Amino acid sequence: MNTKITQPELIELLSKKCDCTKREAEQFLKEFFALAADTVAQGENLKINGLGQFRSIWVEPRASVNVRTGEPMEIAGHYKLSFAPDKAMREAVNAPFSCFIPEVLPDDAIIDDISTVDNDNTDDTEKDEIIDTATQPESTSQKELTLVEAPLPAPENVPQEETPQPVSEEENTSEKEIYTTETASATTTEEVTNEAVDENTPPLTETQLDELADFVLQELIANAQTEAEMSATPNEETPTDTTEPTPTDSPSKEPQPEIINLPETGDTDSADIPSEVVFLVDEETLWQKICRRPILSTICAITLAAVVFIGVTLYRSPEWRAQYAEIWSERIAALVTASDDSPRQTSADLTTDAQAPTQNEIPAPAENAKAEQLHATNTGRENNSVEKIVPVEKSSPEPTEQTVTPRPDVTTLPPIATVKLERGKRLTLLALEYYGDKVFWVYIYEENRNRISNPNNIPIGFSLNIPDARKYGIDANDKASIDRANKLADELKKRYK
Amino acid sequence: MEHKQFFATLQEHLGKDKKEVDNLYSGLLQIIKERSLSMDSISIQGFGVFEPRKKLERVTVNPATGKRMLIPPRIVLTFKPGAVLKSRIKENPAQ
Repeated sequence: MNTKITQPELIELLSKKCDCTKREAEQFLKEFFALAADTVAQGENLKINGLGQFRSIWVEPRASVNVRTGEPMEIAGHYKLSFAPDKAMREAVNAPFSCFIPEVLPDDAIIDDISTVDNDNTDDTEKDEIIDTATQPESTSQKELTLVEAPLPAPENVPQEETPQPVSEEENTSEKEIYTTETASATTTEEVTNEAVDENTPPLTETQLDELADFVLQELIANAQTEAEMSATPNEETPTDTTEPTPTDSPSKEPQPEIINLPETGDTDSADIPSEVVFLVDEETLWQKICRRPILSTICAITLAAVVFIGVTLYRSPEWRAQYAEIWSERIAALVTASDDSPRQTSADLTTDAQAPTQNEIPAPAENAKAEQLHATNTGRENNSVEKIVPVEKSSPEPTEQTVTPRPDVTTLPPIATVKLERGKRLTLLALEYYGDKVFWVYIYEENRNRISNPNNIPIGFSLNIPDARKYGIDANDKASIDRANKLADELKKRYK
Repeated sequence: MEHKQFFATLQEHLGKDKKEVDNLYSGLLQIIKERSLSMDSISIQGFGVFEPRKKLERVTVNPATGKRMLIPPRIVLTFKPGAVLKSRIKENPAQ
C-alpha cells in the first residue's frame, strides 16, 4: 500500500512475471526507458499502446515572485512533459471506482459539502440572513454550554442551571416577558436581541429552512467531533475534566429534534432553534449527574456520538429517506382509514390508500386534508410524503362527486377484464389499449401487485386483471391523473432498478 | 514517434525478436496495473515516477447545455518526470 517500487524491485517483479533472467529484465527496462527518454527529450511525441502518450508541451513565460526576496521575477517559457494514459490503462487503474458514473444534477439541488459554482436560489441578503441565523444558535449554544459547565462541580448550583430553561422556552412566545423575567444570564439577552432582529426579517421558505438545518447540523457535528477529539487526548484526572465529554455531545444530539421542529415553525421564523438547543443542554446536565464517573461518562459520550453520527448519515442518505417517507405515508393512510366507518380492504398501495378515504369521506374532504397535513407537519422533514399525498387529494374530488349517489365502494370495483399475457405484450401496451395512455400501466401492476414480484419480468401466460378506470381515477384526458401515474411509475422504477 | 517505430528501434537496441520484447512489455504493463490497484508508485531511474492518484468527486458545468454534472471520484495514473528528464526537455526545445 502506497509503497514506492524502485528499479531493482521492478526488475525482480518483471523477471518473475516473464520467466526470464534478471539481467534480461534489467536490460529491457533500461533500454525501454532510455529510448523513451531520448525520444521525449528531442521534443517528439511518444505514443506507446497500452501505456499512454507522452508529449512535451510549451509553457508560456509567466510573472512570479521570488519567495526569498519578494522581488518580482519572470519564469521563462519552457517545455514540460505531459503524460496521458491510454484508455486501457486508464480503465485498469480506475477499476476500483469503475462503478461510479457522472450524473447530471437537477437544477434545484442544494450541494453544501461540495464547493459549487454558485447558488442562485436566494438573494445575497437572504443568504446572509441564513448564515446569521445559522451561526447564532451555534455560538449561543456554546456559550450556554460553558455557562452550564461552570457551576457543575458544586451541587448547590443545580437550581441555577435550571433557570435558563424556562426563560428560553418562553422566548418563542413573547420577548417582552423575557426581558422582565430574565435573570443575570448575559447569553440569553444576546439571544433575545438577535431574535428581535430576526423577527423583522421576512419569513423563510422551506428550502431555506432545509439549508439552514443542514448548515447547523454540519456545524454542530464538526464541533462535536473536534471537541470529542480534544477531550479524548488529555487524561481524565480531575472531575471537572471528566464531565466535559458529556456536554460536548449535546450539540451533536440536537440535530434530530431540531430538524423535526423546523418545518413546524414554517411560517413564523427560525428563531426558536436556540430554545431547542438550550433545552437539550439542560437535559444533558441531568444526564451528567447520572454518570458522574469519568469512565462511564466517556463511554457514554463515545456511544452517543457514534449513534448520532450513524443516525445522521442514515438520515442524509436519500434511499433511507425515501423508504421512511413511504412507511410514513402508509401509516397516515392507515390512520385515516381507521377513522372512517365503512370497512374496506386495505391494499398496501400508497396512492390507493391515500385516495380511497378521501373519496368516501365526502362531507368534509377539506377537513380531512387539514388533519392529514397536521399529522404530516408533525413528522417534520417528511415533507416529501405530504407533497405526494396532497395533490392526490386535490384532484380526487371530481371522481367523488360522480360516485356520490350510487356510492359503490370504489376500491372493490371488479376488474373490467382479465388478459392472458402473450409474448410481446407489455403492461404499457395493455394500458394504451384499455385506458388510452401507456403511463397507466402502473395501475395494472397495482391491481396485480400481490401476484407479481417484479413488474419488469412477468411470466408469459400470466392472467392479468385489468382494473376499472374509476378505481384509480384513470383519465387519459386529465393531466393530473397522468402526472400521478408518472410519479408512481418513477417510484416503481426506482424500486426495481 | 508511434508505437510501431518505437518498438522497432527498441528491438534493434536489444537485439531480441519481437516476441520477446512484446512479452516483456506486456509483463511491465501488468505490473503497473497490478501495483496501481494497491496504490503503489513505480519509480524508474532517469525517467520518472508512475503514480496512481485519487481524484475527488467534483461538480462541473457543461458549457454547452449549462447542466451541472457530478463527476465521480476516480483513480488516475499520473507520471512525474524525474529531474534529469525534466531538465533535458526544458533545455532542448527542438520543436
